[in-house]
Amino acid sequence: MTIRPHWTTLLMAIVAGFCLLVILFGGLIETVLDPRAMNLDWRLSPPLTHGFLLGSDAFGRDVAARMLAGLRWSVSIATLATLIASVIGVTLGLVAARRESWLSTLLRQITTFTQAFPAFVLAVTVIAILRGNGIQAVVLTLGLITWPVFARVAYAEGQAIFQREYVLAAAMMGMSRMRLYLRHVLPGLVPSLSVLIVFHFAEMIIAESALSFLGIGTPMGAPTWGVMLSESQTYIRDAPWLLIAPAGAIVTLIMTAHLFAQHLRTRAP
Amino acid sequence: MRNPGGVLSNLLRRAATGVRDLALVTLATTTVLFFLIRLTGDPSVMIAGESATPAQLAQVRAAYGFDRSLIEQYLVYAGKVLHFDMGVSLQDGQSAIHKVLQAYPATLMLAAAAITANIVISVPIGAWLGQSRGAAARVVRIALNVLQGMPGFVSALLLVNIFAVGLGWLPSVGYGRPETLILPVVSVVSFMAPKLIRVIEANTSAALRSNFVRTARSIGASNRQILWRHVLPNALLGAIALIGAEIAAMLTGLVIIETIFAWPGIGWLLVQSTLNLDFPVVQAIALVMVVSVFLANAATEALQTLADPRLRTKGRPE
Repeated sequence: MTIRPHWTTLLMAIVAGFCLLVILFGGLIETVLDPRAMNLDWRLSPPLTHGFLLGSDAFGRDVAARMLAGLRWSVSIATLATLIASVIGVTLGLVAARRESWLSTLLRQITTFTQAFPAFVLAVTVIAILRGNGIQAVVLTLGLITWPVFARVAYAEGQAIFQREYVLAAAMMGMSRMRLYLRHVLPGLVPSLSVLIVFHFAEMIIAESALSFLGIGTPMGAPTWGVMLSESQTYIRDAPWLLIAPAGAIVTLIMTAHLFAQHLRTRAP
Repeated sequence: MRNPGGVLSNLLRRAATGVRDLALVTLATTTVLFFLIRLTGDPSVMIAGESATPAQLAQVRAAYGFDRSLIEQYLVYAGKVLHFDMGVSLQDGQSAIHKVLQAYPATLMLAAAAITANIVISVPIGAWLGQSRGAAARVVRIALNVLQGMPGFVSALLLVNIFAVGLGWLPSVGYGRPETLILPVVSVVSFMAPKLIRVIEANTSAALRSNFVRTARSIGASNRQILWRHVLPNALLGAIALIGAEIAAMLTGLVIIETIFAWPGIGWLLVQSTLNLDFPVVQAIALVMVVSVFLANAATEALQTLADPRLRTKGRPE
């Protein structure tokens, strides 16, 4: 990248540290800042009034508390979905890359198919059909739909790695299949996979907030950024902070992830 | 063209593979949707409602053929799909495919306007960025970075807030008048343009460093001639590929954009039908979207082949 001064590193560290703290101490934070506590006397208070750092919404709920709860929700879903997608994708991709088989053919077909299909539409359809409301439905659907990206990269790079001398030598010396994958093949994938994982995480944050914005897959009353965005539309004239807070959070998180991915990419050999 | 017959047979062969792939994709989609719905419980409960009596359930089962074996049901279903029959909407009893095709022109119009606007905006900016190293270019690059981190629906909400609510210049919802098209199109372009600009920028600066540009310069071509005759045509080839690849992504974006702006297209219909648990319509939309993306990809590939002589014999690029 052309623009990469040190403030990006600082920004990445702050955002990542903040997310980590919020997730680790989420339960503790919610005892002080309850995202569901309503305060009907102080509805739609602007930021920095009545003790609301980011204002309050139409039910007098603390926007700051809901932002933190939304962060836990978004980051957990995106992390788990990325984990599921990467494990399935990398496993299948590597198995298919080891030698040409029916699995490789099937995998190529599935990849072409998913490329031609809007994944988000599939997610909406599947969650609708499963009638799943809740974190599991969203995580599983996103994870199970988006793995082909990882399979494609693992397959393409795995094919090259399996041809390397050190891999062939290790295989000839009788190293077990599992050990070969973990010790020699997987480390070779790390540079490109790490970039892909971070980008995928950002995609999953967008997908999750878009789904909950549409009210699909999110339980009633859950404090997610998407739900906050869609609720803000009713009061857009009187309470613009209801829109700005979640929008700013989503953009900050995604931009940080993008910067981090670019950072990893420039460092990759 | 040295070998026009070769080109023609090549195109015909590609058309044949295209038709085969389309059939496969349609088959896969409909099969997956069929078994997904059957896997997740009794569809007759879904149709009759949770509170239906056993007698009502039996009636629904007989009417829809759910009392037959799964294979039999699938064959009947596949036969119906072949005749463009995706069942009737559970909301109003209209034919599902008819409902979808009614909403289709609105989506098509929005998509066409967005793609056109995207090209009109991105090509000059990308070509300019590819040539300049100045401070202005740096600022634009940073702005693009910010824009790229913004999901389409977030920028759509911000645009509504600024231009419809705050300034009152443009309507935020509505369909049929030209001014209602502006905000949705700008929202779609805001998330599609950064990628396209990047590609055109990269291609432009690569073309500027290539041998054919050096040759052109050495025989005395002006900067303007070099840009129009040698650099831009090469930069646009990459753009065609990207626009094709982004069509699926754009459909995803349209689902949300149409919902925000109450634009009566298939994305809006998808969300409405999903929230109303109207499965025949959801299935029909999924199928129509798959076929549209497939056709758009095929059209892009054909366009690429027409535009780039190098692809005519060697097949598709990696």
